[in-house]
Amino acid sequence: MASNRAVIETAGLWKRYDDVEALRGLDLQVPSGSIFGFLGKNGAGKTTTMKVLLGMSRPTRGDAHVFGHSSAESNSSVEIRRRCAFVSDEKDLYDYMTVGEIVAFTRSFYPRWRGDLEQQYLHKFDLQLSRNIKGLSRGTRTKLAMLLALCRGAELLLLDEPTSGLDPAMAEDMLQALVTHVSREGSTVFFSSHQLSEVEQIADHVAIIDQGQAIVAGALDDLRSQYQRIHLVFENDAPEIKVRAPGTHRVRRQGRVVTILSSSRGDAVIEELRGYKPATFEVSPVTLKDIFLESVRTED
Amino acid sequence: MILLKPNPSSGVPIYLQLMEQVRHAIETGALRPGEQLPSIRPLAEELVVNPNTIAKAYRELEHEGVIELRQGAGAFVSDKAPTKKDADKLRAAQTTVASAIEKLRERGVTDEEIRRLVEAELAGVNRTGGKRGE
Amino acid sequence: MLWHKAWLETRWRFISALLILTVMAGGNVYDYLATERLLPRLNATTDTPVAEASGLADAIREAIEVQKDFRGFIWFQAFRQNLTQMGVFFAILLGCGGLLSESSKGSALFTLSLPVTRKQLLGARTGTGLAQLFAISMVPPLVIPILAPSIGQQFGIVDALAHGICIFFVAAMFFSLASFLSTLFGDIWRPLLIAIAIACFIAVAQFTVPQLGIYRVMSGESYFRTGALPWTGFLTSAVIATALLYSAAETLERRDF
Repeated sequence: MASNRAVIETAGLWKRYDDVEALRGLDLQVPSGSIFGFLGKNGAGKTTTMKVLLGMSRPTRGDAHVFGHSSAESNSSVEIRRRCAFVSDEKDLYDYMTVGEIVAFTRSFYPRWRGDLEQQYLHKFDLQLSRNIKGLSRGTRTKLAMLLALCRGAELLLLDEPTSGLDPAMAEDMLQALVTHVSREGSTVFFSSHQLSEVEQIADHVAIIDQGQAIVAGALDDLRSQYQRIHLVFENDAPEIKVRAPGTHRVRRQGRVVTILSSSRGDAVIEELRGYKPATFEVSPVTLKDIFLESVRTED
Repeated sequence: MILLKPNPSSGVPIYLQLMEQVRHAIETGALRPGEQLPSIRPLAEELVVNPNTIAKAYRELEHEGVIELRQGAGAFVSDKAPTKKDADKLRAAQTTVASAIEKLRERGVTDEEIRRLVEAELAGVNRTGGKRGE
Repeated sequence: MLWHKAWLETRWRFISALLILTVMAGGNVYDYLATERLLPRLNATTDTPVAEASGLADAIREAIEVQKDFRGFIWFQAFRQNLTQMGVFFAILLGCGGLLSESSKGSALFTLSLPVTRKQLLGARTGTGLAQLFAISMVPPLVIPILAPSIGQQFGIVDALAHGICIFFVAAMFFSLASFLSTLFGDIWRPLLIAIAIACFIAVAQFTVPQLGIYRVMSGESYFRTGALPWTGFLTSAVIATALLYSAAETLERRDF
């Protein structure tokens, strides 16, 4: 389906706004054709990243490239936006226009506009052309913003919290529209989200950003198989455990129970821990939520 | 459609959940050898799951010999997959167990006692190295 | 369709400006009827000792002298006063807004996600604004020769056009000022208030600093008195307007959203 080239590539990306450092050396690679989930706490730098990629903010230091074009330069930035579609977190549109007017307006900028998809989504999302944008509910505005993004014939969709403010049914509709679009059109999707379950549902790659840096990044299946949670129960009070195997290990000890969240794949850790001779030894799978919470929690 | 929406938060990767569902469908006879599985794209759209995930599940199932991927035609249940015969066998076994429990209850044996008897019997068979049905 | 968007964003301001200025100009025509009768009485007041002592006597006498005839009256009331003062105000009003004010309403990010440069965005807004300015500069003066016959007076169409041009050049300068200020501040109030403050400052300072006499350009005083258009004034206005628009473009380019 896709070439191996990275659609989005940042290297050592820094962004300072006045005295706030929003990005502090972000390294990111988004493979072509992937559905890439971008996770992080509020204020971690997710929206800033998208703004820099689209030329809305200029990087303080470092590189940001989309489709191989530099995001920092005005002309190449236009070229990037020709092939992208963006939906902001707030999904604000022009409240002095009607649905029909903004569709016609947006259409005029994209020669590859898909009229067939336009008709399809107008029908599917139940959007009337004559309605004023001013009176639209958040959910309807989101659907309109999504329509405007999906019809551009864009190779890359950048979505900032696409399902925020939506009820579960509408959120599922959004995700379905995304999955359908990707499977039929082969575009790349780069979306930020707080909803870990929806990321797990549709993403094949993720990155977790914390304090302006990518803490964890990679193919979701690889990450999940890399992390494991190990429970040890001892006959008497648990001993102090120091893991020597490579990778990150969070050890929590309480009475006779020790829990370890380990990012080093495989048996080295398990062998080492068996050496402590626990009475019970259990390995359980780790959800993305576990990985997320452990990655963004401050060091003990 | 016979495939259910996978649970993204269960900790089990979605592709594994799908594989298990396909195997289960074959065991219970919902899918028979030679029958075609849903195509990747429509299935991804329906379950709202990444198409690559479906593709991975199908690839792994092919690797296990459970299904065959035929170029241009789609995914089909292979002939060597666990068949309806196994499902029939299980159903017959279930009937046997049901009637035995019925009889024991009629004789006044409590459920707790029945359970202990069954456990002991199985354990006893293990110790003497006797055969166990798979 | 950026021009269409700019039009939608400013159309009510434009229509209000056009209506108000046109009504003012038309109203001035009919004011002449009332003033015709009053002027002889005003003459008497200038001969009083109070008037002489305050030094205003000369100014009043001059004003009365000018407004004796219809043409003078129109110049004094419409071009020197109403259309200049309100013209500056509406030019500033039309120049405010733009991309930065969009960000307070949130749609700036949508606009910036389009495959257009910021210069193109500013260009569309400026083009639409200048076209609107041209309309509000030319139409109100043209109402005067149309209505004058109804009170038995005459006013040359060429004169109306000439005054319209004078209004346009200076209005364009204030438009550019408001445009530039709008690239510095995101809210709608500061550019408006600062530009008006500057306009007022010039109005006061022009008496001590003759170089600030752009309002004399705007009212077409030299044309009124001598029939010569104020070409130097036009050039100065054009140069300043261009410089301000260029600064606006550069400021916008560097802005982070």
